[in-house]
Amino acid sequence: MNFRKSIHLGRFSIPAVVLLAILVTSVAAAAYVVLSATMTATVVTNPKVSFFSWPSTKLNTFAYSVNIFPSIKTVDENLTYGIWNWDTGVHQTGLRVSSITNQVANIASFLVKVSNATTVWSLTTVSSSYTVVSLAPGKYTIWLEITGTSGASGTSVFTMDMQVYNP
Amino acid sequence: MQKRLVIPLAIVFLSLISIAIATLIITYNVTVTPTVVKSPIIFENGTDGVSTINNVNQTQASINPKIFPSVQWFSPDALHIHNVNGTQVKIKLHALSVADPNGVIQSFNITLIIGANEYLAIQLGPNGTIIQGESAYFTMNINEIDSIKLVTLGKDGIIAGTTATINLGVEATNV
Repeated sequence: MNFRKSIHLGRFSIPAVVLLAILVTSVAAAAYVVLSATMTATVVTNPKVSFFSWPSTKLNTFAYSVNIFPSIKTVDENLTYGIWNWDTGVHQTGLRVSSITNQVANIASFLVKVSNATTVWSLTTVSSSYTVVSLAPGKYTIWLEITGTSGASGTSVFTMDMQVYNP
Repeated sequence: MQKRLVIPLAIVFLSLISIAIATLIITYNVTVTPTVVKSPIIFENGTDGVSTINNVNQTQASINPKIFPSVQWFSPDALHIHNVNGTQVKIKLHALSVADPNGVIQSFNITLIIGANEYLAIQLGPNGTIIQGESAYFTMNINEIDSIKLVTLGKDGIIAGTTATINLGVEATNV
């Protein structure tokens, strides 16, 4: 590029070197800064409140199967899995049944009851929100009641979510 | 006699050429004077207690998220970004680097919270694979404070104590 040349804009002519200076100024105006934050994610095996299989195997998830019958309430008093606050302090903990597949066709009603000496959760509906309690240290059993519809068939999958604060 | 003059004349001629070349060299002086100014944005600790501000000027921070196997870990208010510029600024989040040597990450999401709205800024997949490496530009008003939310999910079977590191850059520029 010959900087002694002029660039013609309508009636005006601007020396190329001046135009270049204007462009350089525009670039300078777009200056920016970058601040940095470093995140070091550390693996922890289990939250302070976790599922477990009796007697003391901590689990972050579990799968459980139960047979139900049309028009009959099936009660499974103590699942082989429970909920365990293995910390020394109370933790705010939420529980919900977030979904049931084929619910209308197969499930007339259900109850998920979690307790030790007293009942902590008693869930009877599918919900997008959690029922949050202050969960004291200890192990809690899960009690399940499911009543099938008169025409129930196939399978329904219950998805239960647990939310733990300060895990 | 003429032969004797050849060398001195050649020297004189070359000297004149050197001077001529030297006069063609022009030195332009540009003075660059960096001036210390306050950063337009600063970091502040979020309410979740997982962040640390690393320097006096609050331009560097560390966040210590947890990552559980097969469990989502949430920090809805991990770190704050505060516009202290006195004018509006535009910000953009970048994943500057990701290191997951032990393959612990199933997913890792960094979300920018502006008021009641959440904007997914960075999204990492298994082993820290970058699915979305940067956010859009967002305008921050004067004195606005935005939050950074983290959600981690570890792969099944990962070993306690192992780590993954993400270096997050927050770009700030004028509107």
